[in-house]
Amino acid sequence: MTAVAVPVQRRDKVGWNDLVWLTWRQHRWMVGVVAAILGVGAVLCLVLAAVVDATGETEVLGGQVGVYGLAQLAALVPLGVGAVIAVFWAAPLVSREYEQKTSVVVWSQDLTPARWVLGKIVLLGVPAIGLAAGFGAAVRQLMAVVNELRPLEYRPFRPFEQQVFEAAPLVQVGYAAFGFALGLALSTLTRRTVVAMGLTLGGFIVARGIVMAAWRPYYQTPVREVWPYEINGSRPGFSGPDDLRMYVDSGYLDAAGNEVSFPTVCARTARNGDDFQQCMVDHGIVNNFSDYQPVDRVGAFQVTEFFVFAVPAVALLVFAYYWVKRSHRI
Amino acid sequence: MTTVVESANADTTALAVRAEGLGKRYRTKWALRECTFELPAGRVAALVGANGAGKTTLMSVLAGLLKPDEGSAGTSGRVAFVSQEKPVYKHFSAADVLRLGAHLNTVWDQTRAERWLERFEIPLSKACGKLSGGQQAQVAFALAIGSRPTVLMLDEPLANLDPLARREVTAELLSEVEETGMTVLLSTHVVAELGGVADYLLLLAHGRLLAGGDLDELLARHALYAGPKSDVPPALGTVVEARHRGNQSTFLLELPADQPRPVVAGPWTERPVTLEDYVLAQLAATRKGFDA
Repeated sequence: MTAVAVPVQRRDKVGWNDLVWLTWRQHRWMVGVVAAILGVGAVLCLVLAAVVDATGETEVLGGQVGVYGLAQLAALVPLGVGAVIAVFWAAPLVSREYEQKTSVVVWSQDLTPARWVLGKIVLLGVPAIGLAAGFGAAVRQLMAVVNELRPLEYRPFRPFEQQVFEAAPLVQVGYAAFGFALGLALSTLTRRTVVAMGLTLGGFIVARGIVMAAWRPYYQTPVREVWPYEINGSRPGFSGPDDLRMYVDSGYLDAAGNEVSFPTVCARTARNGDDFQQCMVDHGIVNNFSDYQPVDRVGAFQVTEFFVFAVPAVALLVFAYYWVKRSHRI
Repeated sequence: MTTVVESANADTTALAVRAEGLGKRYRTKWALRECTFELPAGRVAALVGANGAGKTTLMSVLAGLLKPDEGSAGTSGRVAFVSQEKPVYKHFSAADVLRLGAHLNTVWDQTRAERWLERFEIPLSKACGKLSGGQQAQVAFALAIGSRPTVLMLDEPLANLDPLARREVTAELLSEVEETGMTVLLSTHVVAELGGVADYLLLLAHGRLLAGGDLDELLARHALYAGPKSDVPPALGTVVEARHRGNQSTFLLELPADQPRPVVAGPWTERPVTLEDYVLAQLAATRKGFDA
């Protein structure tokens, strides 16, 4: 330490650059590690995509590694990015300050709790959604290039498939924002890091699972395709080149178009195919039906999926903001 | 510094802290009730009380970290508060904590903060989590000192310091008060070490302010008498504490106001009341609540 006297520093207010310093100094490891992994991963995806696109090679590194397998692997990452941000970035954010009593330190400087939490939301939330969207875009680019290697009907990455659908940058933004907001809200509410992390992980997985399984197929009313029932018959155009639909439901219809549940008695009693056919007809079955979402709806579905997660994210962030703002309890 | 900064009215300019009917409740239990006092600027005030008397609650309210349920509080200018745990970010070095101070305060005195760390030989580059409890406390103090508060509030500042460090910290605090004119409010139950440091006393018991005022005046209004066993004191006044051991009795009296100090003779002797005598007598008298 030198004896040089530094003059007393005076200014009007604590600015954003100060919040940037604080946020980076506190979270540089967490942000740095995730940013490095996703950044390097995204660059690798783009380089691989460029090489495959230019050469048409299906194997790289001297024929040791298949491009298809690498793309499959990369496609798994976007499924978990939101969860990592939720559990490791957001869930400890407020609770750790309470646990280590540093909330008293940081909020008794010239910085209100409201401004502090707003700083955290902006300075960690924006990088979080940026990283998620960027990596998603890189993986989608790789998928598109790998798809081109195969004929249309054998493309590995179909638009409505979970890994493909969910890697879309807009959808990734929704997941990351929701995860961040959920983690922050639970962190603020529970004030216990481990509890917040556990609840966040559970809540995030359950929310994503329910939306995927029970809500996404019905974002729009499915289209119904009907064809005459016939034993051993199959849907016209099945596994055709442009069969990229998302199937929602299928079954049997009577002459009036009502759904009929499968008569199990036919399967039990029929001795041969003709018997079975007759039994089905006797139970009034005239047609097969198949409900599906056409592939040209995929963009609209991704926008819907974004809003399904982004709207609760905003609500949770507003909750967390006001909860911290009025938190006059140490 | 979230405390309400009051406009400097003519009659409050000399006040550093003002509390009026302050009350704070945790569910149905009042931790603080009807707390009214005015702390003049430039004083070193000791906030004394038994465990659970409401010292931390009062300081948190005054520092703006807790909202009172009734009454109001005001402080003049900037407030710095160091809580009982002396928290610092464990993975920050002492230098980082000072950087935090510079970034998060509108007024920052790096020289003063560094001087404090230098005075107590705190390594600047070591992570705070690897410093001893006493050293972490010094880092927390340096952060508070560096923000150039007009009112410095310290909750149990001496608690995890060794006896020598206690003396040095109190001495350094006094010299900071002298140089900057700031007001210090510190809570403690190490009463013995306040002698010669505090010149103002706030005595809390069961969430209520038992006594408050200039320490010298307060002590001058009391007298301690020792003599043969007796049920009544040798002079007029309110008995704060009476102790009888063997055939000896001692009385701590609050002398009636506006009357000359009584002179006792014969078997009785008078001894000046120390801060410790006074505080212990008050705490003992209210140990079981106000009705006991």
